[in-house]
Amino acid sequence: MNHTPPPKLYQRLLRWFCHPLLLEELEGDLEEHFRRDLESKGSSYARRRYRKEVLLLFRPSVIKKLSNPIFSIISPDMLKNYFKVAIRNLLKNRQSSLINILGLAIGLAGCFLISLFVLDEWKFDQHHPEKDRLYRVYTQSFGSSMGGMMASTSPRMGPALKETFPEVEESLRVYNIRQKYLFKNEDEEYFEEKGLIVESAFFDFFHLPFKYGEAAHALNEPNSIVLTASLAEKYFGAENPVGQILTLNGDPVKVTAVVENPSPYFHLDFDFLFSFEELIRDVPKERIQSWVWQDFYNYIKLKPNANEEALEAKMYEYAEKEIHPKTKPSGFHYYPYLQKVTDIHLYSAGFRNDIARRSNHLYIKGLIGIGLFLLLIACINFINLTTAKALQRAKEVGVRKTTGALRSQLAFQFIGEATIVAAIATILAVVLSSLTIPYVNTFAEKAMSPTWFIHPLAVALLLGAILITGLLAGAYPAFIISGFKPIQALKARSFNPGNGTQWFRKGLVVLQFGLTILLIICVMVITQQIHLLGKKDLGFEKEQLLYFPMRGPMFSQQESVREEFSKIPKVQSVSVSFGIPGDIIAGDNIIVPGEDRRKQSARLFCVDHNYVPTMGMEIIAGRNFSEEIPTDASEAFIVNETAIRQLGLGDNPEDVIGKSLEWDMWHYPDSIKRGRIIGVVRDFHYASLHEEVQTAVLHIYPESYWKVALRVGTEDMAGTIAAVEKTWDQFNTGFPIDYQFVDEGYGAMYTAEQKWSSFVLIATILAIFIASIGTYALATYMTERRRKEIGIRKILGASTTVIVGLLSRHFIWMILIALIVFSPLAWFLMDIWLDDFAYRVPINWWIFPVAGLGAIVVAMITVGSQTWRAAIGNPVNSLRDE
Amino acid sequence: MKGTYLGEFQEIVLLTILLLDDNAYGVSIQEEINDRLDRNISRGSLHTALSRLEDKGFVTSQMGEGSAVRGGRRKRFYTVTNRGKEALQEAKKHRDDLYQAIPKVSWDRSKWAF
Repeated sequence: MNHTPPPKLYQRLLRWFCHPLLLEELEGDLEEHFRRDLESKGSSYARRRYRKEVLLLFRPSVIKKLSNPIFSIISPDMLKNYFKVAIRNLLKNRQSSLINILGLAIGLAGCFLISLFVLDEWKFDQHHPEKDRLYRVYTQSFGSSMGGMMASTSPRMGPALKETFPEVEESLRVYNIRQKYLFKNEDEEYFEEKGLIVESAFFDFFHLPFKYGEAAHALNEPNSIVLTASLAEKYFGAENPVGQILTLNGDPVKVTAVVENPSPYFHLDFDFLFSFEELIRDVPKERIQSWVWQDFYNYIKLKPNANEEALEAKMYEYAEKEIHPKTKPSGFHYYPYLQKVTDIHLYSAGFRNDIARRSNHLYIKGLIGIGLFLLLIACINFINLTTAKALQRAKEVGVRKTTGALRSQLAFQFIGEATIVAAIATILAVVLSSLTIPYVNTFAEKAMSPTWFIHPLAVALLLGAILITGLLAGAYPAFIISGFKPIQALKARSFNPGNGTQWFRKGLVVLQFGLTILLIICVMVITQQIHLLGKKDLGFEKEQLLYFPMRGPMFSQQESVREEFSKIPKVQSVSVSFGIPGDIIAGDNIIVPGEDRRKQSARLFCVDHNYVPTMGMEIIAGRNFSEEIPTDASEAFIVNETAIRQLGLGDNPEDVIGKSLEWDMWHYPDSIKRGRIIGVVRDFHYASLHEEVQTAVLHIYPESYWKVALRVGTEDMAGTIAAVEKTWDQFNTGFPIDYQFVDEGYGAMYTAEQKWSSFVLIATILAIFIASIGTYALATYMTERRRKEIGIRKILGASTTVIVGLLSRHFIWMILIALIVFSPLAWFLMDIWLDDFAYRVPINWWIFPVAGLGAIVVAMITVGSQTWRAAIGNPVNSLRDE
Repeated sequence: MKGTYLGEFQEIVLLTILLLDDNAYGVSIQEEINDRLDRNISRGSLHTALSRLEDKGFVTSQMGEGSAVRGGRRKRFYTVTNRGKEALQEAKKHRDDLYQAIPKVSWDRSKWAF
């Protein structure tokens, strides 16, 4: 006879789960069967059969009854009872249940929305297949007016890195066109401005599927253009446009390919791409080889396993050896660094000259913080309310204990109840946030979808959240209540937990108030800063100022442009220039001649005689350009206040008048414009307030004039614009007018801050709402517990005011403590945020007491209604019942 | 106690126990059913059926002798009680009644249908 034993593991498994009374028979039967199979069908069949039989025996009638109490408490009958009692309790205290569920639901909904938002921000550039090897080269510049991080760098950077360092596999240069093109195909004619000039490696670096055409032939020659699917559709409809000719500003350009619309999570936003060959053809070779020109976005792809930190170190040395000698004569130098492509969206906030779709990791972290605050406040609320309610269920607990309930059973019951309520709140929160997602999308320009909630991971997280919230909220009452002696529990109307629990709950309320106060302070500071951004004196008058670029024939008729537009009645003044605040501003070197002849990089404004009055700028020393003095057109400069300091020409505006400056003229190689400073203009903010004002130099240079600025009257704006358009048409440029208002441009600079402030404001309102719900419920509970005391006090002659004061006093204390604890934290956080701005509001001391007062007012409204009712009640009612 | 309803599988088990007479225990019942009816029932489903039959009072059982093939463990022998036999009779009667009640045409029609 074959003595192979049956599979050990399965035998043991059977012994483990099988009811002891059945084990002998079943184990015997299985073994007998096993032996028979062994004889007739061989050991592998027998073993397989044995295993299958054991597994099939795993059924309720065979499994042993579990004796562990942790399992006995979830017996179906008790579960049914718990559920029934839970529902009855919820329905009995409808108001407080509603408050409890609603508070948690709103907090969770806010938290969900924030999580969705944050997850969305993290998705950027994750779709490029080789994203871990892709880097952008950014620079840290040093030089009196060029300091800081730059997203763009020299056109020579990419090729030089690829040539010099073996770990660089490929390089890519991208140039932002920065001007509008008039696209025309048959009847379709529009301005398009989102264009990039890229090298062919663009398609190798980034994930961009082709709809028509292919990467290899897309951008190999000049005069070719690649369109995105949506732009192609705009001009060619549904047909394949490859090989067709588009007219751009009147010149024919061949469409070589169409790419699918780039992902909204791609940091570069574009509608069309030009070949880099174009640039190489049009720009002098020396400029393309220049280390000084800083307008190119350079990307590199590293070889697999290349060490980027080691490369950065080598790049540092390379910069000192090769680049600095070339840039130092221009008064600045820089070091190149590498930034992961996936980091661009969130970690480029401080970069200058960046075209990427940028957010700010600080904002994202702030949002995460706010989300956690909301969750914490909502949970504290929930814990407090649940505890308060549970403590009133003394009799039920007493009865349960006397009939033999174990401590673990009671704990399970309370945790379970809290979990049920948390589950209801979570479902409500999912519904609430799904309903609000469309609004958030419009507001934040995102494409978030409620379907994310059905994602398995999201479901798992939600279930986890429910369990954790239930556990947190239920654990405390479960722990306190289950520990009480049945006699005490039965005798008391409700538990009177000792000092420890009072402290714990008060601590939670303090925390809640503290977080609310923190948010109130943040809202106040942010609002003040945004107010500053909008209202700060920019050094010129940004309202009622519109501008547009000249086209074609206008360039040669600048005099008549000035004349014709001046004829419009509402136009107060006209200026033709290059360099309008808020628009593209040129940068170049200005030379201070003398023994220590030196270069200083500056913002260069090529302006006409009317510029200063049209912009509403103020001359604080010297004079404006004058038509009467012919030399002004060829040898006069006006500088701003900052220039006095940075050029090192003196201390007072008056000191610099008459000092010499020189400038290497753009349109004439090797010819230098020599002139004197005739005036000083008050500092004006030509860019956003994130940036500090640098040296600005104004001079007359008609060769570069580009845009026409009009100062217009306030009345009948529509009529004025119609008149401007009519005048434009007289010039027959072949282009439609493309005007914009200066103040709108400035408004757009702060959209991120405005959105951010709205976010914080909404979160604050939510937080205040949730916190007041909590305070309300807590006040109700506390006055309820002191009903008899209030009654006795009233009989002995206490006035209503005294009683309201008595009941409200410690809420005020709690708010004061919260204020003292959380004010420094608020100050610290806001200080970090304000550091982002070159011009910031001070954090005033009075903000803190005002925030505290606000919290007290909110608390008093909620607490007051309860205490007031208790105080005016007839003492007979509270004292009679026993 | 559950009702006296007799499921199809339970009926087969009862009949098999009667058939095996005084040798009706787990393995023999299982084998007999598998052989005769060409089924492949597991010991687990047999256990469920037996314990339900026992609950209904249709079978009783007592422990018998152990043997070496069973690793020394004892067998549990099953016998059909009188109530069990009655239930079988009744089930057969109901079924026969139903068969008798079917009009002859129905059989023929089903013949034509396929």
